[in-house]
Parts: sequence; C-alpha cells; structure tokens
Amino acid sequence: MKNEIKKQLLLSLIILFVIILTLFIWYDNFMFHTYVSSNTYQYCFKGENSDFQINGYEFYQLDNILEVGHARILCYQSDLLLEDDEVTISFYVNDDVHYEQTLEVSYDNEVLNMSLQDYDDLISIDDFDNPYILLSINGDNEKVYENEIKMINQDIVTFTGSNKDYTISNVYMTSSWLKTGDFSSKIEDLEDQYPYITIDYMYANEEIEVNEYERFAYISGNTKDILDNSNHQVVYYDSDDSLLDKDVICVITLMTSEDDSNPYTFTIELKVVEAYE
Amino acid sequence: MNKKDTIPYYLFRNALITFLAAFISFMISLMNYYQCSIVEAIQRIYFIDIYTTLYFLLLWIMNYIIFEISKIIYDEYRIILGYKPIILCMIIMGIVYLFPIFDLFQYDFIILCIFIVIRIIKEMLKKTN
Repeated sequence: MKNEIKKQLLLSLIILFVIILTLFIWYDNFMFHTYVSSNTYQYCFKGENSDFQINGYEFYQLDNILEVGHARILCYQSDLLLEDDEVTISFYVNDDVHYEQTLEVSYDNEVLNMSLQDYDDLISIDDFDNPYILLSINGDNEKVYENEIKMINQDIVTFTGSNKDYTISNVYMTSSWLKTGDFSSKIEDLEDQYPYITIDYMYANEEIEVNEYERFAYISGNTKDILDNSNHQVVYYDSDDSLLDKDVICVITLMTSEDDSNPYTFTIELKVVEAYE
Repeated sequence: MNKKDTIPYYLFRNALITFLAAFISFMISLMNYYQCSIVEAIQRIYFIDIYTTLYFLLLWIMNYIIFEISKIIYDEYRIILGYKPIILCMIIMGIVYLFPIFDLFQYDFIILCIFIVIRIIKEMLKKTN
C-alpha cells in the first residue's frame, strides 16, 4: 500500500471514529427530540345554526381507544336553555353511526361543556359522511326543541416545540380552538426537582404592542401528572376566527413549591408540524 | 478525460448516494413511526428540530466516510479480494438486519451496503471490459 493511501485511510478511520462517537453520545438526545409520542388522528368539528353554536367537538385516538366529545355548546337565544332541562346531543358520523350524550342544565342560559367519552371502535376520516348533530332539549318531560346542526370538520394545525431538555408536542389548533399538548422532559427526576409546573400558552397581541404576549390557555399542577399527559385543556378563541394567524409560544414555569418566589421559567416557541387540508 | 477532471464528478456522486442512504432511512423510519406523509417526514427531518437535522447530517457524513474507506480498501486489494467483498457485504447486511439496533441504523447500513456492492460490481465489470 502506498504511503499516501495509508495516510488517507488512517485519517478516514480517525474521522469515522469521532463521528461514530458523536452519534453515540447524542443518541439519547436525538431520540428524545425526534421520536415524540403522537396521536394517530385528531379531528375537530364545529357547527352552528341561529340558536346554537357547537365548537370543538373532538374525535381522537388514544391507545386504541376512541375519545369523543369535549365540545362547548353556546346558546344564542336567552329563553331556550332553562334550569333542569335535559339536552341530548347526538353526533351522526353517517347514517349508521352516532354518538350520544345527555347533559343537564344547571342554570338558565348555561354554557354547556360536554365530557369526553371512550369507545372501542376506531374511526377514520372517510367514515364521515355529511356529519350533523341532532340537538334536542327536554323540559318537564316534553320535547321543547329539536334541530339538526351541520358539523364541519375544521382544519387542524399540529404544533410542536422544544429546547434541549424539554418538548411540547401535539398542540392542536383550529381557527377558533386550541388543545394543549403533551409535555415531556429528558431530565429523569424532574418531578423530584420541581414538583409543580405551570405551562402558559401565549399569543402575540399586536393590538397592545409588538412583542407583547397575552395568556390564552394554561395548565397547572403536579409535574408528575403533567408528564403523564393525562391533562389536556381546551380553550376557545371567539373574537374573529383568526387564531391560526397568531404566533403562539409556551411559557413553562417550574417550581419547587406551590408558592416558589424564584421559579425556573423559560419559553418554547411552537412550530407547525402538519397542516391538514 | 484525465483522472483529475473526473474527481469532482466522483465526489459529487459519492456525496449524493450516501445522502440518499441517510435520507431514505430517515424517511422510512419517521413515516413508520408517525404514520405520516412524505411531506411531513421531510418537515420533521429539516424544519422541526435542530437535533434531528444535525443527527441526519452526521449520519450522512458517517456514510460518506464508510463509503470512501470501502473504496480505498477495495481499490487497493481488488486483485486479491475478487468477489469476496460482495459476500462480506451480504453477511454484514444479514447481521445488521438481525442485530437489535434502532431501525433507522438498520435501514441506513443496509442501503449503504447495497450501494457499496453496486460500486464493486461496476468496478468488476469495468475491469473485465
């Protein structure tokens, strides 16, 4: 072997060794940032007629369970929802499949929030065929209202953001609705170091000032619970359906106690992962 | 064309195929994991997280160097080795396939081995012609 080739080979082997070592050292970090947990699907429906607006009706898969509901029901008429009325909301995915939930009105003109219900059957976007909600109100054992509301599948944008040690993933947003995401950390004993956490979702409020952020949604509680991602908040943006035009950031505050006067705070910018059509 | 003129062409070719090995393996791995479209997988490699992008680039450089080393060794010992490197590559592919490492690296090494085998066959054909 020529001397020149020997040198070339030796140099290549040294560089190869350095690169393999770097790949090995950064492997955990790469895995943490690249392969984050994700839902198989997430749909959000909205619909309204002259009496009601139903926003944020969700369908999503979580560990092979279909979660349905979570919508907010706003009544436009002041005399329609009265105390002790029963409201039945039946979401017709198509002519064969529907999901039903009944809510009781606690006080006049209440804004109703549906709960999330679990089902075993999984669903795909192709199953939706002119979906609508049949909304009926029963008061004093008689039906006082029944109407169909056409439901529209809203465009959902998925966001994710991270820094070296922390990731926020699966933040879902439509033009009028936001669902808080999953928080994860590379630091194994984070819940011991900081038992309490608050995650604020802020958007830039250009009406006030450039770089001025306004809190829009937040989740707060024990770090352990939030790391388990059992807690998702849903918030609605009613102004002008322009939520998607805003820059949203997450401000994360880690605290050693509930009234920690010197918490560890940092921001994570959210980036679009996928925009559904 | 003399040998010096073809060097940039070979460098570009090697860079391209080693890039392809890293790119294809990342795409398969991400599309499998997220069950996502090609566009989203590309987004995830380049635009979402700097750690992913840098890791991708490092893997590409590693592929490039492994490919160059295989070239240096084969070109130097071509007469003694004959078709044996092809069998060696096949064995490495089998081991990598069975070895419990992360799927990204499995795809990458297998694709890289295929490219190395293709180059060796091309060199053997060139020689017989």
